[in-house]
Amino acid sequence: MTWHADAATVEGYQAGELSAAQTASVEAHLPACGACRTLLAAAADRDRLARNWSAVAARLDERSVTPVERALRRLGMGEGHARLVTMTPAARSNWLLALVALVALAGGMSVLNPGRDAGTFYAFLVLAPLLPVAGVAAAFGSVGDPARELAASTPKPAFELLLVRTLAAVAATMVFTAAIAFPVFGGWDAAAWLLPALGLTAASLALSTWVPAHRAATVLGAAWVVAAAASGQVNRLDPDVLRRFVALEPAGQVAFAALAAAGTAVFLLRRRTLDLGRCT
Amino acid sequence: MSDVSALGRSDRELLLAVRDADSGALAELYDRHAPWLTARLNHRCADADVVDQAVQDTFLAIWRKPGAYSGTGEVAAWIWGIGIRRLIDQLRRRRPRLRAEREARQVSAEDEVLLGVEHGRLAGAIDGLSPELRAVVQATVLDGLTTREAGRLLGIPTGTVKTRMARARGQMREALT
Repeated sequence: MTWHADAATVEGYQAGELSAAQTASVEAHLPACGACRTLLAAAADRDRLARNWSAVAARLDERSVTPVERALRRLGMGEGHARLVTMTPAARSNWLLALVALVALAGGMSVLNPGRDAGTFYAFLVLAPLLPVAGVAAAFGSVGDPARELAASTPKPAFELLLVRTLAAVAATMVFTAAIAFPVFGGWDAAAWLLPALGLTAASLALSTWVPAHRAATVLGAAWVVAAAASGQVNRLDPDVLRRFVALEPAGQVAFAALAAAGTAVFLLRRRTLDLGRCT
Repeated sequence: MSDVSALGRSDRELLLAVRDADSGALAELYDRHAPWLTARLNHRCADADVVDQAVQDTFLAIWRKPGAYSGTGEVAAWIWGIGIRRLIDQLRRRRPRLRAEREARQVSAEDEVLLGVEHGRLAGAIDGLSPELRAVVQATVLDGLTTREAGRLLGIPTGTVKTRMARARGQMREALT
């Protein structure tokens, strides 16, 4: 390096008194030259630097904010809510990965069996609604929840807590499922899982005002699988197996839409009966 | 060259120590790099609060992700890349208030350009640019920002950055021929 900034140049730079060309020279030079940086440091405002350092030092132990949490806060969610959502097991990567793997399995099977094998498609339509229901269970379940102590001691009403976490889990799983369903299976009947998913989720929420949330979700999920398996077994020789499962027919879809509305209404009406004791 | 200071550990060694959660190493990096970073960011934004916040965020980012440094190139240049982007983040958050202040300052910035042409031809060409054009040249050429980032820093649309850059090029070419 042949060119170096002299003391007067550094001082002028600090004060912002150099011409644009001189400023540009100093700035192009600084990143590459430790000596000139040291020269500049000697002329810097000590108090200001010390103030900023203590601000940095005070925050060194702070938990770093994850990108998801930051995005939620940017969307207008309060800091507390954003923290709750991201600490929900459903939003944690290992949990989510397991679910995605489940859906990917159904998708993968269909890729191996091109021509949209009816059995695979059926399996997918039955499995997909389970994901948001599992989200409800996990939203308040004690299994795999690192924020359990926090949740149990929070002064926030249990209702709000369960709602926020459920919405987060349901939204996350549904987005993933939809993202897989349409490209892989195509056609609008690939959306047939959507209303059963909403209906079962709302029903689980409603049921969770009587029994613990994870039990509500397990019971409803099991009932759904048993019904689907029974229907599939009875009609296994029928090439149009889909049409034979009442839940995937128009009438069944309407019924699940009604169930979604009713479940939500019950949950909202009975929200006062929710308390943390029942949900663990 | 500049990496090894007389005081012992080089910038890279300090970064490795930061990886092991050595806060003393971060303090040493701060002593070395915060002064020039503060001064340089001051040239990009007149609001000292915004600059201070950006400087703090920069060193917190280094503390949390020292591994983001690729291992090649000057550590100082890497720090500058973090610093200018943290400044842009801060500006985006506070933009409405700052825009009003910037408009109030604009007049004096235009006076400044009249003092311009006094050095060699290249210097004259740079100094002869209007403050708006010069800011775009500075952000894209000197600060290494993309057109989009430059737009965010300066509070103007991306298209405007492009047209101003083209105009600045034309003007400087004219001044040099």
